[in-house]
Amino acid sequence: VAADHAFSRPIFPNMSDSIAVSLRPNSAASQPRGVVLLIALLSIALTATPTAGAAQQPDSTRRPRTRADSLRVDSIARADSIALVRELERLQNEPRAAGAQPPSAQQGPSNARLMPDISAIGEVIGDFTPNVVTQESGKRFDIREVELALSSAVDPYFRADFILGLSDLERIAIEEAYITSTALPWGLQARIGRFHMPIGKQNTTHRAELQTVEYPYVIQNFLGAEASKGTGISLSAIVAPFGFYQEFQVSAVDNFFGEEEEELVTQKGTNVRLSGLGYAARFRNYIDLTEATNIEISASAATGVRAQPISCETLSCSADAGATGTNARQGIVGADLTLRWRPLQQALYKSFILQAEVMRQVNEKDPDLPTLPGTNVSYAGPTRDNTGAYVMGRFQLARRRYVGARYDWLEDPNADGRRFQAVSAYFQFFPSEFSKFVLAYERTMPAGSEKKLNRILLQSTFAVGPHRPHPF
Amino acid sequence: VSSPVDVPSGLLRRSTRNAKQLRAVSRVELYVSYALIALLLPLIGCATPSIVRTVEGAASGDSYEARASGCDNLQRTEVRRFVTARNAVLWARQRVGTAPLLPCEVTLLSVAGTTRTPVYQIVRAASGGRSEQVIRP
Repeated sequence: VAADHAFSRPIFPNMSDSIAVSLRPNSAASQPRGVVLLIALLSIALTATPTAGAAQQPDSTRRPRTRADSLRVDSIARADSIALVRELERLQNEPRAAGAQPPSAQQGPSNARLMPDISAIGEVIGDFTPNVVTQESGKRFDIREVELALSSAVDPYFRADFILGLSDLERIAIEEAYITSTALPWGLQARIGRFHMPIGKQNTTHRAELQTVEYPYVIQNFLGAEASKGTGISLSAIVAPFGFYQEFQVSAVDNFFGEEEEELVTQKGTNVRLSGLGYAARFRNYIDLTEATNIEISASAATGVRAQPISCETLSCSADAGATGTNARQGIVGADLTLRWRPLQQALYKSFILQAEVMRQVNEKDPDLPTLPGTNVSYAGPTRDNTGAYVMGRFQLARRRYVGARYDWLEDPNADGRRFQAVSAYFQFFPSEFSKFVLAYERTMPAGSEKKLNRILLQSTFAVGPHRPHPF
Repeated sequence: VSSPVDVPSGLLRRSTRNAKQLRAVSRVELYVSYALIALLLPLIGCATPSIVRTVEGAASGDSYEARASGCDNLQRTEVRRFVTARNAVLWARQRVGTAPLLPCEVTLLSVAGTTRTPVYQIVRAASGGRSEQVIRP
């Protein structure tokens, strides 16, 4: 055994072979006692059994003649003992060579290899907006969400990831839970479960890992305040006929518009027909411009059916009457661009990212309406298509400090497509890879007579485990 | 024999001219398409990174397996199979280029039956340095 061989070689030149052999540990449990025994034996060895070779070296084991000599010898012996213990610790910590016996079950947890990676990310938001609270919870200080992530290989064919979101509003929500294939042929990769929909760029990022405090307004309004997730299957293939990286992703999910409004009751479920499922496709292009700079240009498209409101002429539509909504198709098409720069020599201190995304929401104008007795029904859902976009930049000032800015532009689907704009600036401070503080100022500029807002937000994000709130 | 529909001669001339113009436009579109394909074909051949051929020469397996470690926010070990060395190398470069955290390391293994042989490695160190090498058995 390699480790035992290491123990058997003389650590000090004046230690006899007989003593060195006696230092072999019998078991892991006996090692601490063995160390004590070893120190005792070393003292004996140092004082009583000098070897022939040691005679040519300064002898620290001779009987001292004076008190000063005695103290000096004691201190040398103590130093030797400490050095020996350190050497033993070093040898114990050394990786075992090939052929070494595996550690016995008593040396660690019996199921160490079955434990998944466990992480938690906490997010605290402080809202200092004058005269109004802009958080969904209505609180000035709030734990917006705690994300609990578990990740592990299932078997040689799949890896599993679970991300649970915990918050005061939603209690426990399954943010993501999916398996990813690792051994599909033809370069394919499949994902089955619930996952962030591959529509656009920032929609695939968790909120705690964003560059900014909140998702861009185009994502919040077209895909949901907490981004779009879907439960189903996703397949990705890499195609690279032009010598740069190109990836094609297709997904089929039950629904990617998030939770439908509870008061909307339709006569048929959105997923009764297979065409009512949510389908998405994304085409990614990644090019290395230099070793330090790369660009990613992608296009996305998605379509699905969601419940939209209806209005009744003679009586108000209600669930008792049969329906309060109808199914209407909604689609999203978009394109995004990301430019990254991280220099080879100063990657820890300098970086820059520029990101822009544009999306168009396409709504069905004249969906089939339910037939309700005694009243005429008309469609009250969105009847126009809306466009939204944002552009964002972030520059790294120093190892732990970043500044960023974002401009949002949106045809607001909740305000008949009226124009909405927002500008925001950020200062980020990363004490380490595991914690982040963001100070944000945002000015929202709705169209018309609506009040403009100056929002001031402070975000603190902290993580334990391998999950880190560090975007790039 | 008189025509069942009395078409004014001016309209007929105009529609004939429009049809000719349409044919000409479609011919131009066709030529442009041919030219684009002719331009792209050599590009496809030349675009393969030179290191790919070295990787292919280093070990000839049935397929390639890429293992990325430390590259994503969860620091997971990602594994993905590829048929061609080109796709595997491009995926590895992409993974390193978009890694939010450093160090990020991707190793390609040539897979022949149950034997896996490391053939390529790309690393972006914590300090930022990027190294790419072909591993010869």
